[in-house]
Amino acid sequence: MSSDPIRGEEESPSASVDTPNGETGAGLDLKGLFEAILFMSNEPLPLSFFVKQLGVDPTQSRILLDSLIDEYHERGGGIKLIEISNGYQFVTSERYADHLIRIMGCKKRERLTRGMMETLAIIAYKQPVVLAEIDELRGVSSRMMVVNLIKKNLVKPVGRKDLPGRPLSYGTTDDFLKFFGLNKLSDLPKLSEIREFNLGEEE
Amino acid sequence: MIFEQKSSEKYVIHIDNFEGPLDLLWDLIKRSKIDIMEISLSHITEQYVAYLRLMEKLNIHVASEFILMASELLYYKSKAILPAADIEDEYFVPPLPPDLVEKLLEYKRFQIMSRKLIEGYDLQANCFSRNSDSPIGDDVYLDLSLFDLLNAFVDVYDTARDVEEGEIVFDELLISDRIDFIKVLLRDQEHIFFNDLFTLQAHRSEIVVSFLAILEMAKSGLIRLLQHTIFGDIKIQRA
Repeated sequence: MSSDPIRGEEESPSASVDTPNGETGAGLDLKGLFEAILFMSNEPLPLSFFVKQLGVDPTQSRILLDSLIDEYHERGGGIKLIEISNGYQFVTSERYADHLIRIMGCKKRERLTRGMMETLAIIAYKQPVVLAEIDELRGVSSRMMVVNLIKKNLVKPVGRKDLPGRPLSYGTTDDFLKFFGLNKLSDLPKLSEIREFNLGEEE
Repeated sequence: MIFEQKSSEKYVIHIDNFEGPLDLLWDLIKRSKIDIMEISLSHITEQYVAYLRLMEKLNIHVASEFILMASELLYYKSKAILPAADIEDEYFVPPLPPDLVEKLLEYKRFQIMSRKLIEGYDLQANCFSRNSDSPIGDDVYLDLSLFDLLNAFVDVYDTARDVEEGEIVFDELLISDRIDFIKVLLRDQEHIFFNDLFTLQAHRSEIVVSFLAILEMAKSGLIRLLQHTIFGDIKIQRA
């Protein structure tokens, strides 16, 4: 059972939320409601969704969601609740991936080519970045790579740089976070951790 | 060019798909098993150029950036040969110039990072959610830069046919005529697309004149130019 870290006492997670059935909330199990909403959602839902739509305060929402995450994690079943792309979403456990692909026809996302991954890594870490800078870092023209990444909705233009020709600068999208299992950009593995690399480590 | 056998290492015909000159350089450095800070510029340059010659021999086209890097390497090499006052050691082997080392290291960092990112990708690819297909982004129309316009122009230009030999084109194509034509088109429709201005068999001159016409019209404020997706078709709108 979750407890409020601010007041230090056990809080039962209910609030007065009007439901279409006319029940006003004193007895409404908010955690259950959150769970049901997340079950129905196609996309990760941000904390702000629960705050805005249900009028629940952010701290309490966070506690409820975190406790749901823990519960599902402990349960260790076929689905889990994760924080991804700035939101919360139910996803299937990776243990069942092969079966799901076979039985339910779930499609596994195809891998990106090495060139696209390099371009994407540059954009992810250097955003906002213009094409010329990407070309410089890779040593080759990257225009086609960027076009393909845009088609896959992994990068998008995020503005223009104040340079001659006013070139577009690019950044990553929410789908990028989703596909790479990241919650926010700061979750990217740190570039500075690459200090010395042993050449023998590579394939 | 004769292929020499360098000590025990034979030149194997390795047609790797290199992402670019930096990728190739790293491969050569790795094979030499010498640290990037100590490796001989001359040695690397030789191997690099040998690789390009091999590609040429096999009729494999390499991107121009590879050739550019070759010329840069040769330039660095020539600079290194010139005697410098403070080099006393006649056995001194010029290493790679610091600029190039910096570029190589930076590139390598991103190569490594992209591999790390792929790990996360593979993990996440095994987790499915309700309705995993995400819709493509909205139809957002962006303002164009001159370069976007030029790129669109080049795309159309490249697909145009050349005037056949023996064909004499008499008609003068006037920009003002094209402007009138575009005005007529825009009378009936609120917008048209750049590619709509041309028939399939458009002459290059027709394309050039149309392009100049829309530039002129944009300058006079008669039309607005918008682009749908990046590198997409250009929308010409009544102002």
